[in-house]
Amino acid sequence: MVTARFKRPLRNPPATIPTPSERALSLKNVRPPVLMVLPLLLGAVAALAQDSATGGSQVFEGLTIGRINFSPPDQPLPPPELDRLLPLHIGSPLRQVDIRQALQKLFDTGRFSDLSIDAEPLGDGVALRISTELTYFVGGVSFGGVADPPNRNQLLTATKLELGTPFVESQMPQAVGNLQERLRSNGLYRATVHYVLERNPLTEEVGVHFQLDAGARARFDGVQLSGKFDRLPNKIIRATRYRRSFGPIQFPGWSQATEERVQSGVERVRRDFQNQNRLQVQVTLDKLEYHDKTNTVTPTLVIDNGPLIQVSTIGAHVSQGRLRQLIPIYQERAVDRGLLLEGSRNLVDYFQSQGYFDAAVDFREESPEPGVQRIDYDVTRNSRHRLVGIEITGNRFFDVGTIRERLSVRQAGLLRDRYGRYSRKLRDNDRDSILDLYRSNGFRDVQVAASTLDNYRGRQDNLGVRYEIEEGKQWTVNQLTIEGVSSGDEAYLRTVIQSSEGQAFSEASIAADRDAILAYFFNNGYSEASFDWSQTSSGIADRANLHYAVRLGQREYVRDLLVRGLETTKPNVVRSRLLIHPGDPVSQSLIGETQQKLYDLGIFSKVQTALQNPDGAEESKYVLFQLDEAARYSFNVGVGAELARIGGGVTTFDSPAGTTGFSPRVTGGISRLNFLGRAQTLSLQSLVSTLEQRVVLSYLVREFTGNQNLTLTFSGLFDNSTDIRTFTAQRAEAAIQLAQRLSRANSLQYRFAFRHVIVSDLKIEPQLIPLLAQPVRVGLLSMSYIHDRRDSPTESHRGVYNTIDVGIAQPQFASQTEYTRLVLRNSTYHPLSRNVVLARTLQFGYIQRLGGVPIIPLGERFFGGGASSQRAFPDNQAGPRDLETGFPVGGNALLFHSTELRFPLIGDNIGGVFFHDMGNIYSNVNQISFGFRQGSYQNFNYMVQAVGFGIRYKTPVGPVRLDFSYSPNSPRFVGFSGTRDQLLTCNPNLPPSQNPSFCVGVPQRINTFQFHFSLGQTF
Amino acid sequence: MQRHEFIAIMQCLAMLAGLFAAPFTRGATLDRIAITVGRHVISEHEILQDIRLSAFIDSKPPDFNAEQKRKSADRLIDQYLVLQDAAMTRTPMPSAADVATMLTPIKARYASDQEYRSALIQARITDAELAEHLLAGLRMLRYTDLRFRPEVDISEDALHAYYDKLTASANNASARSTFEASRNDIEKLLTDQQTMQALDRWLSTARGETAVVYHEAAFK
Repeated sequence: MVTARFKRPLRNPPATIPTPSERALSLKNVRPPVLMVLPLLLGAVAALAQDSATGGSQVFEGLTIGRINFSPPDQPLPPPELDRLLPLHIGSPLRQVDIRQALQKLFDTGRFSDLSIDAEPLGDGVALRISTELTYFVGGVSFGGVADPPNRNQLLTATKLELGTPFVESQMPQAVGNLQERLRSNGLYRATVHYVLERNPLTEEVGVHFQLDAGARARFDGVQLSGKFDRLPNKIIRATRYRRSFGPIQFPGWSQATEERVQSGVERVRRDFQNQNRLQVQVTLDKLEYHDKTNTVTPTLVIDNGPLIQVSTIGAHVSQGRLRQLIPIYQERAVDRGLLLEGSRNLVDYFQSQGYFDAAVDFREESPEPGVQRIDYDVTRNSRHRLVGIEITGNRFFDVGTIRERLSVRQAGLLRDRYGRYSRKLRDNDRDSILDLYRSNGFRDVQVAASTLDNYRGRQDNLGVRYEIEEGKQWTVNQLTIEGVSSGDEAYLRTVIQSSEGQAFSEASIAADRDAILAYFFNNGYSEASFDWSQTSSGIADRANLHYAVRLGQREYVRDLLVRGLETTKPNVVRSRLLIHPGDPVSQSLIGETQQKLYDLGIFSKVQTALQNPDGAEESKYVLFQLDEAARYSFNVGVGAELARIGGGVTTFDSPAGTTGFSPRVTGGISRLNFLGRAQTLSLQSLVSTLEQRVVLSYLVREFTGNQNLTLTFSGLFDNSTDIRTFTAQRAEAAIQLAQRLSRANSLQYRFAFRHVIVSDLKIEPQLIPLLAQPVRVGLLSMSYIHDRRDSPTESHRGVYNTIDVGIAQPQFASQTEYTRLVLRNSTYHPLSRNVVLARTLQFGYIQRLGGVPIIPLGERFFGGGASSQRAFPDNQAGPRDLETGFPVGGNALLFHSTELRFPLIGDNIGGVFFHDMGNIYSNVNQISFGFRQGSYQNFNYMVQAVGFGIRYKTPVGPVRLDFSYSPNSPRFVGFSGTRDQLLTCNPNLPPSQNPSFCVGVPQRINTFQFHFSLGQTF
Repeated sequence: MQRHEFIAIMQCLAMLAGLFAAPFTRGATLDRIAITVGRHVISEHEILQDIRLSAFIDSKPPDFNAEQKRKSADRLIDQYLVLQDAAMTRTPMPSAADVATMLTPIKARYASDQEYRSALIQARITDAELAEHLLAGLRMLRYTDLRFRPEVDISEDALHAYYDKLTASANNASARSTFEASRNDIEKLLTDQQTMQALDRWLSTARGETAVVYHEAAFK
């Protein structure tokens, strides 16, 4: 064959290398007979070329195909797929049109970059040879020698090499150029970039590794300023912060030049001018001149400070701060008519929110002097109104509450929206919302009229809004037919679609059905599925026949999963989390879920997923997972403080109920992620405050034994705490916990803890000290059941949260004390309206001593009271107290109940709470009492009540809260006013007159007013 | 006979022998990818057929040199881009029936239908291919007219400027027609020019947005 003839000389190179002059084409030394043969050969070649050019296929057209071979024999597509794909088959006649189609079909697969089809005679027929060149696809892109910034992600973006897309080597110079550009813009002018390609013909992947040598980063060496501006250059340069500085303190020398620093410097200069009301200032980075000798850069900024903009209101006062919020010229940093008009509208909205529903605002611009532009907003407020009523009539299908939920107009409230929220535009938008609601439920003829009622209910300046609804008939689906899907798929789809027979007929439901149907097929390998629908008359009034037509297209399957980028992680860790497998239909949702599971491991900084050859029309595709392992160590440091009734003398016995105190705290920790490459975490966390010092070492095994619902934790801690004012506890503990997730809402925890507790600095009756100061060893086996159906754990609006915690301490667990422990909690959340929630919680706990040391050790008892249990008390101040010193000694039972009404207060971020707390820590379960009165100074077994008000400020990590409570029956008790030594001199067996005066107990009471400041909702 | 004459004759004979031997060679390349436009393949055979069809219409012998191949390839790329956009924008296109009028003058060149058909066979093309070729050209023209002609706006100044340039270059003053008399012709000419310029600009953009890869083996 022709191609073979040309290739032959390449396979057999000449034995000797000719000199350059010999290599030049010359016929000088060629013998005449050879010259005779040469034209013969040339003629033959020309003939073949013409044969090809003039259609060699004509020679073979119509001959029977006897053989089809591929060159090379190993092809990326399996033979059956190739056979299905090609229009050429053995035994069929050869046709030119099929040859053209074969080229197109093979190229459509995306697997080939070049193709040709040759033919040669085979008996009476023809043998075909299909020669292919493979396409390669971008596999992993990795970097060595990264000097952040730019970070890996920025570098990856710069290369424009997208995972799974066809790789063309001619892209590489551009990729390298882009990388160098990115490095230079970050001051790395001396950086060099090299790359290595690693081709894998089996999977047609090309791994690209870029090796960077960043070199030293350039520094600024000054700033050049030009243009028109009226600020001192020094101030402008200072604003750039290109000099080395720490906050406002400047140091000698200049900072390193990074892209972020250059841009933020320009931005700071711009803001600096804008703060001086130069809103139209233009600050541009003209050039960044690099000096190779010194490895420094000089940025040149061109500044045009523009006119001084003065904005004011006439007819009503609006503060400058408010104007900056309402007039978008301050945010957009430009002045044009569109923005000024938007400012007018915002001002109208603002005045309408203040009750001036008829407010009108206009503006005018003028230039009183050169370089100054004045913008005056003329405000006509008109009279003030209150929206006091919203009437909805004519609704039968939807109740008023359902419709009200969709309204933007709002009635005047006591604290929020004191004048209500109303404008003609809002009212009309609400009318449209009601129309949409009805239409999406099949009421195609619905009509809604909205009107505003002046002097509502006879009171001047009161407004009402009325929505009059004429529902009309509801259209329903008479018959639904689905075309283009299998009976199995149809059976499933009929369970998820909304427009089934008898249901409301609406375009909204059909749109939802389309999404559901397409999502189903997309996730089953039909990435090209399309949906169409039509309706026909059923012949029955208000009923329509509906027809869904689905075109599935070619189904795609997973050929294999290619996981790349694992360095230290064991492959099993990833493999066990892959939710998609070879042979499965391609499902984007499963690929996405797998990606999420891999991120959830916390050991990968980036998880890229892609289909190799995404646009190729082939039956099965490789699914790529490119993983970047995260840094193996992570550090955390935190600083905080606690402000509460935690104060009081340390050496004296004053203030057993605590005084306002302040406790700063510092936390810090180090975690080793992906320990041993098994996605396990070894962590050391510490806390130091004036109340507590703690260090915890933990080892976390996620997906224990490969079960994604099991998490095993080993932990050891040492803790020295004085958060309970009665004593100082030193606790050393080792624990093991297995957490099992039963379902989305239910989970179990099995725990064994072994601890050694030493109690010291006891502020209790001296006779009890020898008993309670004994070090105690506790071995506790416990189990918790958690049922969580809250909509949000940090800001619950609806749902239930239940926990059951049971434990037993036994000598078999090397415990010196024997007891059983039960704690139950039930919390429910009930939305009363869109923003108002009624929440309640009940907590019950009980400890039953079984043996061992004579009484339950202090450290094992219940302590309570405070921000998260009973707000009548400072932290851990509830329950029985020492009869001599008045300090809390904990109890063996607890019962708390709290009710909260949570509502919005100011704006969207500040909320309020009214609460009622009741409950106490009791000396024993049979002492639980609901009595309101304390009875005596020695009786603490009664129900303490508290009511109060709290403020919540929304933050991304949960609300910050401040609660104020009042307790009408806070406990009274007798305390001791003196030191420990003085207490020891007191003899309780002697009459008071024979004891020193300080031995006389001092009647005290837990303050009836308490405040609590903390993070997160109470429950 | 001199030795060099003998050699020259032998060389010619050898050349002829080579040409004569061509059809009896054992194998041939039936087709190969010549260009890819996005995911669309233009094969070498299509380019060769395009050359043959164009030559047949122009009553010229086909020229298969590399330059002609490349010209034909570029034309096929433009044709594909235009027809692709026409399909996407649902531009109304002429049908096969519209080609009949274009075929009539071509057939009229031949004394009989039989002669016409033997010319087709000699040119190694078919009646259907010729009709398809003409239809594609017609569709390109229609698309250009519908897409770009409406946006062409010839100003009065441009008409005058062209007329002035035309008259300045004309040698015979008496042969000059008035501006009003020439106005329609000039307007049509300038409109055609600007329409084609708009098409060229569009094609340039479309080519920039589409991956066009030439496979050089097909152009050797």
